[in-house]
Amino acid sequence: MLSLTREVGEKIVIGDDVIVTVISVSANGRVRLGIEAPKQIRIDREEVLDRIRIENLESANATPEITVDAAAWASYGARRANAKAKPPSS
Amino acid sequence: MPTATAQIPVTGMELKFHRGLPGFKGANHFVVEPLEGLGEGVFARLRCTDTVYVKNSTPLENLSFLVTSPGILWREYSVHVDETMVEDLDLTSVDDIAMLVIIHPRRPLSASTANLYSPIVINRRTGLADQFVPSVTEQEVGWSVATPLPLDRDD
Repeated sequence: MLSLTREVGEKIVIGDDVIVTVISVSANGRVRLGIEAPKQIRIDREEVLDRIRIENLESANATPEITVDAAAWASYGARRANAKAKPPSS
Repeated sequence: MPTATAQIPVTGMELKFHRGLPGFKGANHFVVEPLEGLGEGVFARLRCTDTVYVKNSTPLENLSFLVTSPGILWREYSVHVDETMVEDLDLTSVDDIAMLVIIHPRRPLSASTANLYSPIVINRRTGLADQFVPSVTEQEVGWSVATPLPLDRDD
């Protein structure tokens, strides 16, 4: 991994169009970064994105199995389709 | 109020995810298909028309998800879509927005969940879509990645 030392206000340029700026560093070690990048590039917190990635993968893997439970899904769907206009059941 | 049959507003639409779908490389084009005989109107299939790649795995030809419009099953559902998303998807009015959530089917069905934390936001005018990744936690949003499906005594 490339490691660079930067001070507050200094920037790092990645490729032609990604710029990372160190905005602030707090006493408790929190670093605030500003990122400028083209909009097709995802910029997310790693732990949040990982949780969504894993959930997407597991959901995709489980989806073919709905055919096994097709009758249950059909009746659940039918009940919800008709219940939509009714007040919520207690 | 007239009797409304549940309906997923974007059924039949082609969706384009400029940034792909988290977890899958190359998953940019999808179609929303009705699920005939399987919760039609409440559920739909979100099928990818690209060959996609998953880390440490062989290319995937048939990626699809079970989805629903969150408002059908969770009437109180709302999510604050941030400015970046509004700009990226070229959303100019509330009427442009449609949402889908991915269901994680489990057995039994009553154990199934849906990702209400991170809905798929769609510009229904253009078909531009993206999975929203909030910048705040599930607790702050009030909806979980694995929200149980609403059940009643018949489920």
